[in-house]
Amino acid sequence: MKTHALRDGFGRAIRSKRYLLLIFLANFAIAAAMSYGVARSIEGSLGSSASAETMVDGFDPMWFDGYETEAAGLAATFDPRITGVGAVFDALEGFLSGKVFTGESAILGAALLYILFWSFLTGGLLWRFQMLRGEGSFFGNCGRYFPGMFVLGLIGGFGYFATFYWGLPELRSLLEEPMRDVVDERQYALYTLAEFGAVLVAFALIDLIVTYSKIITVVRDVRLLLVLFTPFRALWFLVCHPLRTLGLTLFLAWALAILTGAYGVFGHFYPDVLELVGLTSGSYGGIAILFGAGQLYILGRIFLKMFYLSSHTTLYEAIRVLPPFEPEDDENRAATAREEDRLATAAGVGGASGGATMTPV
Amino acid sequence: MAKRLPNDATPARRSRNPLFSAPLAMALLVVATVTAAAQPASDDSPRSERSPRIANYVMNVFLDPATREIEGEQTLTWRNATDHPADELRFHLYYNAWLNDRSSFLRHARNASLPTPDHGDEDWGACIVKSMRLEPGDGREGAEVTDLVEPISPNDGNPHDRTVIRVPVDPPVAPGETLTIRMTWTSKVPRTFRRTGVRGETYFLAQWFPKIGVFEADGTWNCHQFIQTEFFADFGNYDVRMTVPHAWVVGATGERIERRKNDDGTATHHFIQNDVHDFAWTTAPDYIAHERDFEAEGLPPVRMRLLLRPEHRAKKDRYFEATATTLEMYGQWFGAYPYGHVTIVDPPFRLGAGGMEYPTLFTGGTRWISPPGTFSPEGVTIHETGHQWWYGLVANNEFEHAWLDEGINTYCDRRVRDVRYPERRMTRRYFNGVVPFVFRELPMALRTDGADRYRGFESVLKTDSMAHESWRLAPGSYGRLSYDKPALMLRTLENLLGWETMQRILRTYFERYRFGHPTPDDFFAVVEEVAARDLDWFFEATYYGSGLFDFAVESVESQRITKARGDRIGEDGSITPIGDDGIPPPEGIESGAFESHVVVRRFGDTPFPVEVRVTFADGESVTETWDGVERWKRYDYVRSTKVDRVEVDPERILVLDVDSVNNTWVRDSKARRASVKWSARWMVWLQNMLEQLASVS
Repeated sequence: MKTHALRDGFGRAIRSKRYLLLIFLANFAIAAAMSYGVARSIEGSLGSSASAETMVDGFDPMWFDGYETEAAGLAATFDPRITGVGAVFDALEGFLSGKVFTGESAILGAALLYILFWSFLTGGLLWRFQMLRGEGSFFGNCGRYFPGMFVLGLIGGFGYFATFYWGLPELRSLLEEPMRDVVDERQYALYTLAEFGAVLVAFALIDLIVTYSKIITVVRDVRLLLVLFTPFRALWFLVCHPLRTLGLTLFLAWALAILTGAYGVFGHFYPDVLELVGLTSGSYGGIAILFGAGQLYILGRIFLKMFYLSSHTTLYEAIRVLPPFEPEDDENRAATAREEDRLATAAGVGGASGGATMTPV
Repeated sequence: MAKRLPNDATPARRSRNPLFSAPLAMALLVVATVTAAAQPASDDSPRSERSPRIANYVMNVFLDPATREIEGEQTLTWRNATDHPADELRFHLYYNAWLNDRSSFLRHARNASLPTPDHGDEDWGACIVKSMRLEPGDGREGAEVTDLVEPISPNDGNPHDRTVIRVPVDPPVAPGETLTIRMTWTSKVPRTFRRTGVRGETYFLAQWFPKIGVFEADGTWNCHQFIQTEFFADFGNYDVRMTVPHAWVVGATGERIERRKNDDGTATHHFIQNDVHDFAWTTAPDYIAHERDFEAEGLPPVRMRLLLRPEHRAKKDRYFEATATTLEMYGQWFGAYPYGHVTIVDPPFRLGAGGMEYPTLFTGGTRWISPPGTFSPEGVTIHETGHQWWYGLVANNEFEHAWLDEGINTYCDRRVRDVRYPERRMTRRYFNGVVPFVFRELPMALRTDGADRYRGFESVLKTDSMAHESWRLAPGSYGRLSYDKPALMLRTLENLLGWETMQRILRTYFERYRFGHPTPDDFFAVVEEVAARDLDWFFEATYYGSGLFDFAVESVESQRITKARGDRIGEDGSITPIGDDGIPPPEGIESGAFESHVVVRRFGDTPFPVEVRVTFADGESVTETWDGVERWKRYDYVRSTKVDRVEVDPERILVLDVDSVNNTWVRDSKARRASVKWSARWMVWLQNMLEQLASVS
């Protein structure tokens, strides 16, 4: 069933490429608008100096020493060590340690805007990813489910907030005593791994609960007031099907890790790539290659998130039609397959959306 | 011994001239542009093969890990090497800096916004003198003086500080007299806060015993409270027996001559070292000891002993190689390391004692995951090995002039790095510092590359002058004014004089003050003597001054000479329009030439002579010499092409300039292209950050 969810979810995500592009463009537009200010700041700082020549095909650490001292606002977030895997490590570390939430306000504002945009689209995407979906337009359903998605987003946000401002400090105070006299860094690394791992697991669980709440909201067409109860239903669903849901999540996390690793490897060997094709890092071709790789990575990340939503939607729908708690024996699997075939071929069958006309996907 | 200043005296300015002597400076600048011819090393014979041996210790100490206490007995044989009688003795009790949070050390740390300890009740340190007796001898009767011991606070009057004690001596110790003092004491080892202490079962013990101050040539005691600087002591011989649990490994100043296993499960390690001014040691159950011999042509052999943490096994060769490289280069440049052995201690992670120097022993420091590009442990190892010269052998008063050891050593270690480790790349550590990543595309700047990182109105360089006594430098300025600015000052001096001259200066300084206590004036005198130049102007500007250096290209204009408009006065005095004939261009310049104006400016407070190089579009260039005294200077040119590039201080002699970027101007600026390149990278970083944050949506 997990394989089915993956295969089916992948197909549904792929078929939503226009929305993938839409999200990517939103991401691109926000970042481009903000990077204009940083570009002006860098350009202004370099001015007519010879350092600009150095910065074109290399890097002038003396310029950066001064720039770092003087830059303010968004420009102060510029650091040359954001290339390739540096960007990924930076974001992941900042995210898992909660630093990003106390970062530059302009970035937080942009992130909030982007999060709202994602929340708006999520309802439409989940509606689209359903095996059986009611009629209506994509954007119509985006608007229809947005209040619910927004409420669930707030609940998720509260979960993250609680993790950082209550869970993480508690965890750190728990680890403080055993770590106090640790002088072997290997042991310290294990504690660090445990700390980041615990935060990651907490995030994954919160994210799963919120994601399934959203799926339930859309698939079962839950009214706004009742959306508040969907996290309990989602939690119950996760408790009943831990292997399938976590397995699917782990697979997608693995896919993200591979994508990130590939991007990191590319970033590391970027100078060699340039040498191979006879370009310099300051040539427009060289700039475009690295920028293009970055865009592919971002596109990949967005696709994986859509894939995550679609595959879990598929999994939920597939499991939902089976009686709960029954072992997954061959007979049940066959019954599931028969039921799915029936649903897939059935047209105009009343269902979860409260009697709305359903069309096969 | 060099004549010293009283404890609280601010060094007098050496101002023989006004701010500086411009003609001399100009001449020097011209000389500096020519590569100095290699000259033979100084022919000064070594000052002495042994130290004056003024303070000699025989100690027997027992470490009890259960209580974290050291019980000590010591016999100090001290000689009054001055022409003045000493009517009291003063001792440092450094460990009382961590007696409580009212100590001057911790008070200063709070003022400087430095980390303060998170000590529990069991973690504080102390050093208590339990008994003190003056032994009979030289016509003197023995005397029990324990009750006469009193704490004093000569520097800040802090009644809670217990880092210095005095004891009256009656009759006073006559000039040339040798006095024997027997003491028993207890040191409670603090949880390591800075440089010394214990974590887990690893002890690093420095400044751990009652240590006599320095009785100066003027008859006053130089025995500062432990506030932020700590090293100043007379040379002598140390004979120390340390008893620790028998399976524990011990490393210490000097050579171990015996290890005796005791019946009570302990072992006593006997170390001896002559001609040093301090004694430090370390012990832990899990050090792994390695040894390797250093040999280099023309230098005496040195047995290197490395006490390595198990998790740092892979760093063994890198530690040895960095140590050997420094022993070789410093030895060849400045003079041989004389002791024949050195102990390298690889401190555990977070011990807080990494990167510290003691005679014949130093601590390095590295991380579990530390690939070669991170330059760890190489960087710290080179620096601390270098301190065996600048601190260990040339033992200036670090309480007052920390720059003489830290600054000179920072300057010198950079040269080792340049020669042996020229490839430096930026590194960043992620996830609580556990995971390093080396950015091979990004060269790294050393703090001795230039003063650019101190740019800004509130630059720390302006807060104090290097001439200020180190122990009372403005909070937060110690590091910059003891390491960075002095190193930049010496690099500037090297750029003016050439490396060969600089090497002879340091070699002469080393040979002259080995086993001695030189002052800044001694150093300046050696510089002027070897360079054979009056450099007062230089030291006035860089050492005594606290102003910034900042030269810039302010504006560049190049305009085609157009036909003149207006009137002209004829030979007969008549006024007629210029008309189409125009005014002929200057001789040698074709019509259509360019008139260019270059304005350079001194934004910094401090004048300094600099060159200004103006390059024209046809490739020709003109080098001007500007004394830098006025705030600005304008250069006018009429040439067939426009000005293409202007550089102030093109050879980057004045590395103290806090903004090297504004020193240059190029017509065809590449700033747009550079900003596209770097902002595109930043944009991808932001896109990824947005996507990461959106995972909470």
